[in-house]
Amino acid sequence: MTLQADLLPGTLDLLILKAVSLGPKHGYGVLLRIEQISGDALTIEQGALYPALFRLEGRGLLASEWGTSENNRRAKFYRLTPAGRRRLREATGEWDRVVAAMASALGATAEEV
Amino acid sequence: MLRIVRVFLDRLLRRNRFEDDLAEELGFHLEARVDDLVRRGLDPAEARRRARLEFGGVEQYKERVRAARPGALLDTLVQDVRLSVRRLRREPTFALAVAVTLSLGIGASTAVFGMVSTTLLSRIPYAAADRLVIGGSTWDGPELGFASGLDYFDYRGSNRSFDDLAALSPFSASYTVTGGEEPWEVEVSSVTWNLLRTLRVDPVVGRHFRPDEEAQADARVAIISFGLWQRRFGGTRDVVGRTIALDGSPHSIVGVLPRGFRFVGVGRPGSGRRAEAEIWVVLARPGEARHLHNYHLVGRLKPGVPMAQAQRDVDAISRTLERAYPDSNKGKGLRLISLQEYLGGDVRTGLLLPAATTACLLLIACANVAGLLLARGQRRMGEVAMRSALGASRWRLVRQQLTESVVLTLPAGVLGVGVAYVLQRLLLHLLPVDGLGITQPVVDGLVLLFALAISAATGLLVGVMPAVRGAAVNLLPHLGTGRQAGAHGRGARLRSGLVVAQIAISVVLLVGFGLVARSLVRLSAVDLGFSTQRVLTARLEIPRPAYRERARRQAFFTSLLQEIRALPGVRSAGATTNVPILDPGNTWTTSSPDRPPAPGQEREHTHLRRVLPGYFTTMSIPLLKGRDISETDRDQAPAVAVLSESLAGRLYPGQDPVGRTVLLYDNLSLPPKEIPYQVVGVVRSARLADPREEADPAMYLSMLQVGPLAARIVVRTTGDPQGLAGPIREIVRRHDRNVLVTDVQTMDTIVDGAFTDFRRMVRYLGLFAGIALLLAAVGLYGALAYHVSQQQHEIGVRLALGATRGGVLGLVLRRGGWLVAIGLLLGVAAAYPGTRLVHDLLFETVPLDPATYLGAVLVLGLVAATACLVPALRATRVDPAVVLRSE
Repeated sequence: MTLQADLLPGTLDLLILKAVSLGPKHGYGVLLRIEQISGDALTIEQGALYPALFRLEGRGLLASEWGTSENNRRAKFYRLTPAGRRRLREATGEWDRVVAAMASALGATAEEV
Repeated sequence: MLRIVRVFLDRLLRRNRFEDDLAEELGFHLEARVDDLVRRGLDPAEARRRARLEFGGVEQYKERVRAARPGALLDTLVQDVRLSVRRLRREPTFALAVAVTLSLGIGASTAVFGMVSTTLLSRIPYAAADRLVIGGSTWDGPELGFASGLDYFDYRGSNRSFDDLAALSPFSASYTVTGGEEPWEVEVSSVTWNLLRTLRVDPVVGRHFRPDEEAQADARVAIISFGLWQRRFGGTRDVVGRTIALDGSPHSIVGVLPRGFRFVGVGRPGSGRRAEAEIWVVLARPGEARHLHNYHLVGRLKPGVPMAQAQRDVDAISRTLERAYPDSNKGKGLRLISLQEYLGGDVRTGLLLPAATTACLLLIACANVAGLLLARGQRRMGEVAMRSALGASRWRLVRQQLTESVVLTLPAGVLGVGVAYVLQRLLLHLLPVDGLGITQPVVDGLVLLFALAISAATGLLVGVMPAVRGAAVNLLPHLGTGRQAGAHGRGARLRSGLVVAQIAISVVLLVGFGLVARSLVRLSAVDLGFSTQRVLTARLEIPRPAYRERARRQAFFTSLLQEIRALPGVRSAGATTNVPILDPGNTWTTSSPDRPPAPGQEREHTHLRRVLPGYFTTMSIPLLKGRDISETDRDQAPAVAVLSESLAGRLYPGQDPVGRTVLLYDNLSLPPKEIPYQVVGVVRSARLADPREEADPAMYLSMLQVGPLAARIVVRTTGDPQGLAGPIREIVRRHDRNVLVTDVQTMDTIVDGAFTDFRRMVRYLGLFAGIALLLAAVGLYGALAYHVSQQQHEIGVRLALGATRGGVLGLVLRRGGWLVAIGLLLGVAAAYPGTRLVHDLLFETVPLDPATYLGAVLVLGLVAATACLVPALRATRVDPAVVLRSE
C-alpha cells in the first residue's frame, strides 16, 4: 500500500528537504528519490511538488540553479541552503518526537494508565 | 514599503524569465517522466499520453505554482496591471475618452476641494485657531452686532473663561500720511493692546503694544504691516522709533508684523471697505460711550474651557451690565461664536454652490465612464466567458476588471491635478473669493491626497458595476457564437439609468444658470434712480491741521468746483459725502414732529448725505417738488433738507412735506438729541447702497452747513469722463498739494463693480452647465450608438422583412426620446429644490421662472436630439444583406 506524502501538514516539505539533502536534484529527481527512500511506500502527487519547491525556495530553504541532467538535458537543480539544513535538522527532531509520542500513546494499555 | 516596490518592479520586468523558466522546468519534468515510462516498456506515444494524464492541466498547474511563490498576490496584481495596460493600448480612443472625461471631473472636484479646504479646514493663519472665538453684541435675535468699547472692558475684566480677550475695530479707517514728498493714504485699524497676543502673532521687528499704552489717553504708538515696512521704510530695522504722521498726528512705530498678517474676518466683501489695514494703533481706555457699538471681540479660550461654559460666563456678565446700565444695556447680550464657524458661515454661501456644481459634474463624468465600461464589458463578454471556462475564478475576473478601471482612473487623477491647477486659476477669476484670502491656486499635500483618493474611489465606483455584472452573467450563450446574444436587459437598463441621471443633472445646472443669468440681465437694466453715463467721481481729503475752521473747508470745495465747472468738456459738477453704491454710509433715523414715534415704535431709517449745489443735476436725480440745495444754505441760514420721495412719503403720507420739519435723531451725542431740519424739496428716490435692493430713503443736507474734511466730487462731462481725470487732479494740486485725491473712477465702473461678483458667478455656472451638457450629450450619444450596434441584427431583419428606413429611424429616435423625456422630467422636478442654492442671487426672477425652465428644456432637448440623430441615421444605413450574412 502506498500513502500520500502530504498526509500530515509539513510532511511533504520535510520529505523534499530530506531528498535534496542527499545531493542536488531536479524536480523529477526529487519525486523519484522520495519514492525510493521511502521504499516506494510514499508517493507524491505530482501537482503538489512544484508549488512546494517554489515555496521552499521562496523561504530561502532551497536554492536552485540550471544545470545538465543525466541524459544531457537542461534542468533546474535544487540544493539545500544552510538555513534549509538547519530546518531539516529541527524538523527531523520534531518529527521523531511526534512519532515517539504517537507510538507511546497508541501503544498504551489499560494497566499503564 | 521600498522593498515591496522593488519586488513589484522586479516582477514587472522579469516576469517573462520566470514564466520561461517555469515552462522549461515543467517541460523537463514531463520529458523525464516519458523517458521513464518508455524504459518500463511503453511505446513513446502512449508514454507521452500517460505522462500528461498523470500531470494534469499544465496551465492550472502553473497557476498553483505562481500562487505558491512569495508575493503571489503582488504577482497577480502585476499581471492584471500589465493586462490592463496592454488592452488599453489596443483601444487608445477608449482610454483617451475615459482619461479626459474623468480628468475633467476629478480636476473640477479637486480644484473646489482645494479652495474649500483652504477656507474651511482650519487654515486660519493663527496658532491653535480652534480656541479662538469671536464675540458680538446681540439684542433681539441671534444677529451678531458690534460690541461697545466700555462693555468690552467689563467683559475682559470679569470673565473667567479666556486667556485673552481683545477687541478691534471691524472697519479700518483711512488716514492721510503727510510729511513726505506727496501725501498718501493708509488704512488704520485700532486694536486693543493684547490683540496680537490673543492671536499669538509676534512682531518680526520691535515689540507688542504694552498695557500701559492702553491706559494713556494719547499713547500714539503704531505697529505697521510687513508690506508697508518694505514699501515705505525700505525694510530696515531702524524703522522702530521712527514717527509717521497720521492725519497730522505723529505716531511712533514700535513694531512690524510678519509678512502676510491680516486679521481674517475684517474687511470682508460687502463690508464696504476692501482695503486691508496696514497700520494698527492701540485702542485707549476708557473707550467710547456704552451705546456706541464699534468693535469686534476676539478671545482665546482657556485650555479645557468649552464654548458653552464661556457663553454662560459672559451671559452672567451681560446680566450684571444690564442691571448696572439699563439705559444702554437693556436686552443686550454678547454672543460667542468660534472663529472657524464665523468665517465658515461666510465661505459656505460662496463655495457651496460651486462645490455642489462640481460634484454634479464629477457624477456625470463617472456616469459616462461607467457607461463606456459597461458597453465595453458587453463587448468582452465572449472573452470573459472564455477565461472563466479556462479556470479563472469569478473573484479573479472581478479583480481584473477593478484593476483595469483603477489603471484607467489613476492617470486621469494625475491629469486631473493639472486640470485642477488651471481650473483654480479660472475659479479665482470666476468666484467671489477675494475676501477669503485665496490669491493663488492651492495645490498642496492635502489636495494631492484628495485627488488620489477621489481617483481611486472613482475607479472602484465606475468599475464595480460592470465588473460584478460581467462576473455574474451566464456564460454559456457567449461561448457558442461570436455574435452576441442581443442587448442584455439588465446591462441596457443600467446604462439607460445612467443616461437619464446625466440628463436630469444637466437640467438642474442649466436651470440654475438660466435663473442667475436672467437675474443678471434684469439687474443690468435696472433703473438705479440716477444716471451713470459720463460721470466721473473722485474722493478728496483735506488735511485737518490747515483747515481747522469750517469756513476754510467750505471755501476750498466751493472754489474747486467753480474751477472744475469752467473746464472745457464739463457739463456740471457737484459734491457729496457719499457716492451711491461705492460708499453707502451709515443709516440714521428720522421722525416728523407731527407724528412722534409711539413708544416701542421705530423711527424711519434713512441714508444721510451732505451735498453741494449741483449734485442732483450732475447725477440726473430729478427734483420733484420745492427747490434744490443752494449756495445760500450756509452756516447762519436755517438748516435745510431735501428728502427722497420714499422718505417724504413715509414721514408725511399723502401730504406735501415742503416747508415742514424733519427731526434727525443723533445718537452719537449723549444724551441723544433730535436735530430739526426744514424740508425745502423732494427728489426721486435712488438705489444708494445695493443695486439689487429697492430705492433707499435718503435725506440730503447742505454741505455748506457742515463742512466735512473729505468729500467726493461728481462731474458730468460731454465726452469721455476719464479724459478729465488729469485736469481735475491738476486743479486740486494747484489749490493745495497736501490734498489727497483717490478713487478716481466713473460711475459706470462703480456700478459695474457692484455686479462683478454676480457676473463671475453667472460665468462660472455657465461654464459648468456647458461642460455638464456636453458630457450628457456624449453619454447619450454613446449609449444610443452602442444600442444601435447591438441591435444591428434586429434592424437588419426588420429591414429585410420590409421595414422602411424612416421606421428604423423612428425606432432609434423613440428609444433616445424616452430617455431624454424621463431625464427632463426628473431634472425639472429636481431643479426646483436645487434652486435654493441660487436663491440669494436671484433678482426680480422667481425660482420657478417658466421661461428659464422652458429654455433649459429646449436647449437640452436640442442637444439631445442631435446626440440621438447621429446613431439613428447610422441605423438606417444598416445593410440587411451584410448583417444577415454574418450569421
